[in-house]
Amino acid sequence: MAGIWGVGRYVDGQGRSHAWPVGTEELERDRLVADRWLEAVGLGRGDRCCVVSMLSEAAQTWPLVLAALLRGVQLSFADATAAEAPRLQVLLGTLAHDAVVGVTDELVGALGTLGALDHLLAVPLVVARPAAFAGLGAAGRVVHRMALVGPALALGDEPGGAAACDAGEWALDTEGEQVTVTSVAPRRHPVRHLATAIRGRVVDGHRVVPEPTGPDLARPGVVR
Amino acid sequence: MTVTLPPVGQRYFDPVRETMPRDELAALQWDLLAETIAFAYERAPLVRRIWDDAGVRPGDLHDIADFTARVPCCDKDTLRRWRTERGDPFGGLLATDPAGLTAVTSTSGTTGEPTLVPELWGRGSVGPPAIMYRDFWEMGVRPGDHVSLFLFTFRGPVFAFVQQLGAVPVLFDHDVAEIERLLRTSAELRPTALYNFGGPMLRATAEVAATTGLDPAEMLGSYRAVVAAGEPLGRRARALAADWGLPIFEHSSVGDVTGCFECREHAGMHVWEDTVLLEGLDPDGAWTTYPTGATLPVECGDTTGAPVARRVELVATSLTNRVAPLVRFRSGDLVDIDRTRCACGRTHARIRTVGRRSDEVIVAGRSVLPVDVWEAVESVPACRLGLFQIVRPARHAEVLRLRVGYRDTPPARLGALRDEVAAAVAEAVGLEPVVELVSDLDLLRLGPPHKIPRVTSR
Repeated sequence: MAGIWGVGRYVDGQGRSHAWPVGTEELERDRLVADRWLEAVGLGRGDRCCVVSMLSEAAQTWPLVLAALLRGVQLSFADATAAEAPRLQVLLGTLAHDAVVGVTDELVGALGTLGALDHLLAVPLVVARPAAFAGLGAAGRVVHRMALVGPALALGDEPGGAAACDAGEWALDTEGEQVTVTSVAPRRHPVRHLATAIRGRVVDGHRVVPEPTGPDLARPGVVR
Repeated sequence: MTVTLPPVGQRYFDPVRETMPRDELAALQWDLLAETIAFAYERAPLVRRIWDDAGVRPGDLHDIADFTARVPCCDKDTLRRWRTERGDPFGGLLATDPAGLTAVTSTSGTTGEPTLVPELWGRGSVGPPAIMYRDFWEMGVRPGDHVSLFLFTFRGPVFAFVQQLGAVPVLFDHDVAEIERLLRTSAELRPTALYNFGGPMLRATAEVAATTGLDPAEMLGSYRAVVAAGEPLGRRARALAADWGLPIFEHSSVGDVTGCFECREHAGMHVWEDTVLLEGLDPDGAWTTYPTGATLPVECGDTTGAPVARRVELVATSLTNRVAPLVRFRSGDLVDIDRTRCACGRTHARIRTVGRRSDEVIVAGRSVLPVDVWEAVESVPACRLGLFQIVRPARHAEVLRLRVGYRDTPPARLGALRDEVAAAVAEAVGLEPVVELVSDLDLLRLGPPHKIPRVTSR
């Protein structure tokens, strides 16, 4: 089945999961977007980055992993759950990391319980999902933002700044407090004004300042 | 890595390697082993230290029997000690420039803290594609299929092998909360293989089916293979899989060197012996494990010996890893090994996992492993998830102590439930246990989610 990279998942504003088939061409475009973000935040050859995510999020995060790989960034991985805190503790405590991308609130809490939050706070570039961003801010550390806006990955390129999707790929808007997303470029599974689980403010049609409205990890039970 | 696929109608992915006569396989193993040990001795500091202390050099060895007779073993403690004493995160095994690594993944960490695994994607091993490719091809995965991956991320991009087989990965988290989505998506996309879906998930699927009214037999009916790993399947999980018509393929690790899967004959898990040298050691024998032993073994493992070995400790040496090759690594896993030709036509060894050496408790002279009490625990309805731990402060104990998970039981009935569990276990193992009851959820929190520690010191 040439042309299909895989079938991932996205979550809509009602917490429902949707299968998300992604084409290889889309993935390559997303890799180029991720490469520009890595350039913007200064990650390249010789750096080490831990990607914190779930397998169901790979359609959103794999372009970033691939871009980092091709730039010569050394990678490590942990799931985004509280149970993975010991793994992150070992990774960050054993190997000096330059970045951790995708931190969740439950992981931050579990690291705190282990007495290992300092390992995370010592990493120069931390990219956190909305609730984790708020939690780390309360602990005095302003980090970069990340949000899964339905199928779109938004990443901030400066501490405390808005998280951005690529304007050539995605258009963001709001319906009330809910952030919506529309795919701009051709996709196997296009979305149009899809209400997402993200609430917050949209800037310039492709940047979002998400609010921490609940746990970072969606654990939906219903699929459409 | 570019993978050349065989004709879709062909059963074997690599017929020459998979059905190689054992004498040819042994010759190939020695060629690969000679290359591996020269490489490892030259580059991996722990390997060099072990061999130097034993007075052995790669050039001294002339065949596999030489190797198994003269080279000391190592184990996880050896690696941990090296890591702690020298601040070397890779336990003295790294045989390449650390700056050139693609990634650092890790083991699950069920029996301790996760062990770091250095990786060079696409160029970390020599030889043709073997693990996963041969196995999923045997299970019936073909180009154009969908393959459901119900997994974690800490091992890295596990979906790559699916794509190399020309199939499309469908991605799920290894989480009970994903089961309903798995059921519905499977009904829609009709995938042919599901990896990894062990006992806890099979049992949880029954719960999801009960609450949603979904029919697993119908929704999972497209699967030609459902791979189960993490821990042995209990009677209840097997019964559920049979009821739903799911063809279960067991899967396990081979001493942290590689993995192994059942073929369609379901007669043990095939270990690809052109990628790993497999030995089975008498777990109570006087084997030298660096640096604690002083005496070198005088008997070799059963590598070239009897075709069948029972309850031996699995020892593995990588034959293809060029990043951090493990050499004579004692896994602590007790296995049965069968090197007779499988009914599928393959000549490579098959293993069955019996338990962990560290899990064995000797009570009144009787050996007890988790597998011995598993079905007894599951047979009690309130304990049907089969969640339990053997409490083992030391290898020898005067009484068998069990911590058993339960559900749906009011406090007033717990005494009777305790007696019921004790009676079932006593009938199974011939020992009257002391049973502590805890909720299923409390035991599941001990994770990782695909298995719980089956033995605990307290």
